[in-house]
Amino acid sequence: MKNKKISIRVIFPVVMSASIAACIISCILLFSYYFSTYFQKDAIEKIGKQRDFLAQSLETQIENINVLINRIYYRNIKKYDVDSARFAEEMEQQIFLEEKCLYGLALYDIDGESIWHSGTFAEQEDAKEMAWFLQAKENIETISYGRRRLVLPQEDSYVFEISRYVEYIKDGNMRSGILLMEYYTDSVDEILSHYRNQKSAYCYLLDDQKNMLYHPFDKEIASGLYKEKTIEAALSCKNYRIEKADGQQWLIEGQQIGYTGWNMVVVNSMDSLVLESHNLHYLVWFILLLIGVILIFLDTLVFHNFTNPIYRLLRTMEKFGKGDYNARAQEEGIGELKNVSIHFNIMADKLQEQMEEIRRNEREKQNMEKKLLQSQINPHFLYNTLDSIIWMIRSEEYDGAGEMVSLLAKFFRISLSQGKDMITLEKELEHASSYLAIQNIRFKDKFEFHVDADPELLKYFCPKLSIQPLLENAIYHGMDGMYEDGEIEIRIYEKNGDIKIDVSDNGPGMIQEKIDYIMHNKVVSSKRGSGIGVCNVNERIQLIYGKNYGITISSELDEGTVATITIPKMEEMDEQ
Amino acid sequence: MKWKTEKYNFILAGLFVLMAGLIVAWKLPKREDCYIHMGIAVYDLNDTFMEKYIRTLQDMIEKTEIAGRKISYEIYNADGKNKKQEKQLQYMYAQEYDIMLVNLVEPASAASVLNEAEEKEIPVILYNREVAEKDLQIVKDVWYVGTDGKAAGEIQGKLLKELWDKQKQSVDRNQNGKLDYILIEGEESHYDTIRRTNGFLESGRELPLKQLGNLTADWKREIALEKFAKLDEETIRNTEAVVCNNDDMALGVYDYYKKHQMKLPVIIGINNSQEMNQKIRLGEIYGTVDNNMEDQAARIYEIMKSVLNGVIDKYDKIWYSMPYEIVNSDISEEK
Repeated sequence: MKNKKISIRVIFPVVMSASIAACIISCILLFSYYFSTYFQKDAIEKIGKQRDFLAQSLETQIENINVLINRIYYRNIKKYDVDSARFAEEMEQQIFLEEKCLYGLALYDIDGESIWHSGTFAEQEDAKEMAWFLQAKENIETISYGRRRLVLPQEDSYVFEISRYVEYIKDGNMRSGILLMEYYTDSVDEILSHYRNQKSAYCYLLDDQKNMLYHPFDKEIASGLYKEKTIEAALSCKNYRIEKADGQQWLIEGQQIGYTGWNMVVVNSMDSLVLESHNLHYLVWFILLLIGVILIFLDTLVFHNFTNPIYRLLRTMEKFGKGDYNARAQEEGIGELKNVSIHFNIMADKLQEQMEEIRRNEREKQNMEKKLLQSQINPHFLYNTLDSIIWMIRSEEYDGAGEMVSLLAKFFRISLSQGKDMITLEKELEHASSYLAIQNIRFKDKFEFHVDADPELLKYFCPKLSIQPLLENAIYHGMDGMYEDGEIEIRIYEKNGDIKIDVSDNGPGMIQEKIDYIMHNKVVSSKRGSGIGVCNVNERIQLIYGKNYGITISSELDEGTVATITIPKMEEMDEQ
Repeated sequence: MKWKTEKYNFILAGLFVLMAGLIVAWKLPKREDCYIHMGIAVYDLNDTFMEKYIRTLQDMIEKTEIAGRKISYEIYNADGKNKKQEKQLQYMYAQEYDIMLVNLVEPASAASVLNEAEEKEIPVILYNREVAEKDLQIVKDVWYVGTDGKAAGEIQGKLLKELWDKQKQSVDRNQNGKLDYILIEGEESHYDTIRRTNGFLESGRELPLKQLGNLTADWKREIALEKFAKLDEETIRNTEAVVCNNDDMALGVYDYYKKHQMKLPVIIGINNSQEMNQKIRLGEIYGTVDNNMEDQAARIYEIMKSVLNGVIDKYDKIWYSMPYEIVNSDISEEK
């Protein structure tokens, strides 16, 4: 019982708390997973948009360059004979107009011989071996974007070598040639430098041969302080790629720039991208944990609210079970629990009522029995006494007969006592005395009797007809066979706060078996007696006063028998 | 109490059935579309060549069924305007076509078009107007079908040489021993323009060519007529041959001569359009080059069928049809 009590009160909240904790932890994990996926996706998308924007800007710039080179081709080269003064004039004019971005222009014939070049242009001897030349010659319909070249070392400027196949006019005929345009990289650099160029977020540009066209850390790379590790990853991936390097996650997004075959790569440190989401992470974790704690707390609270009334009810029931019929449960708790208490109380009320009724019935039954016993005074005693009186009258012992009649009258008066159950010791003694007197007369003074009573005690009450059976016993067992020297003594005295009534005789005594027989069997000593046995008296006394009181009989053979009634001092007794 | 429990059971059962139904409805395959959807973007249907091209394609597509599904197609005509085509392309991506045939107005913008199409997972067949090969490498599901412009130009040079060799006397009207010609080109920086001109120049190297003028007429008959009319009379009078990048422009020159009722010079075009062909049969125009447009359409059709059947790596990314010459041999013999 005790174990079970502990287990349900402990295990249930523990299991609940564990479940809640598991749920919250799952929530946190799921949330983390989905959020980091979401943030990653978001970051990829965001970077993708930035990349697209950069690529678009670059493509627009490329288109501008295309327009420029086509303009030079179609408006000048294709229009004017290369030997004419107009041609050179127009070309110089063009360079002048585009001074900001044009470094130089040069026209070669298809065999690599220089036809014309602008003033700033450093003539290249082996032009037909150069990549830009070969490329343009091979792809006559497209504009070739070649490598990046350092010019004006003192100013540290770079140019793109942009070339295309052209048809120029010489001597009235069209001839094939290659136009080379050296275009400052500034316009392209400017677009790319708009991107945050930090170590954790930057972009760079590669040409189709994987040569670096733009890199924010150009100088570091040149001096060997920095190495771009993402090139292979960027070129091998389709849309984006997440790569681990230097203990960090890098988001690499590459895109090929139209027309040129260039590749622009945007590199971002995943950590710094997702950093912003961390705060949100912590916030949500905190909220979830808080919810968890609150849930566990509420759970425990509800559980206690739920079980406490039950346990109180249980304790009440235990108390009730142990006999405290006044124990009632507090009517508390939630909903049905309250009903349980209420119904228990109703049940307890009913039970108590029934118990009371049963007890009342029992007492009534005992009363009936007592009344019955009292009324059982053997008529033989009356007949015998009346016989004795008749006999005395016939033998003209009128005095004796008169005394006998008055004694008998006293005996019966006290016997009936207006139906009262308890009478004073004085009355009881009177009754006993009258009985003894009657018997003494009947037995012709076969015995003597003495009454020695503490007058102080006579006012106390005792159950009616309690001494007479002892006397009867003493007469029939003690005086049997005795002749004229029998003695019966009644002593009433106080001992240990209780009243003791001794009835002693000097008869032959009884063996223990007989005493036991008398004490435990409903026998009467004589058919002619009052009909109430010693055992009856004992039971009655115990019924009224409890087990501590009653009759004890001690006997010694040839010495006599002493029967002692012990009753408490009781002034009055409720007549029930 | 019992009634209540039954009610709850009933509600629960109802919910269960509802959920099961939803799941089934969601999982059930959507009704198969009985059409394959295709978008066709054309740079300009006023171009007689493109018009014929598309008509040929239409005939082929309408006859086709792939896996029991007919092809429904829409044609978007950009009228030669890049802005208009950009809008049309945006609309086309949104239609989620199964395949797109695109004839770009601005071939330089191919990269962004291809990137977007790939994002939407739409295979693209580019045709007629070629794009940079580098751009074709950006995405996987893209093909180009065109014609060999250089070969066409070379045929022009060859035709001219044949004529020069055979009838030098009648061709060299001013008897200066040179072939005085005017070159009329298509759109500037158009691949075909550059290639055809280049081919012609290379094969014409052996001829004693003397270029009197070089015009750009955007492939159009009216512009060719207009620009040709602006040349000074001296030049026109000395013109012995007019070499054009396409038939429409050649017909523009023809229009000029007819208008001024002058003796036609040797005119050479490319495309073999119906009218051109007719004029050649009549002996008025010397010759043209057939771009074998039927072959191109057939190729497009084959790639399209293969792609729609899920086979994507059967065909090369770039394919050119082989052009061939169209001349009236009688006339060339006669002259």
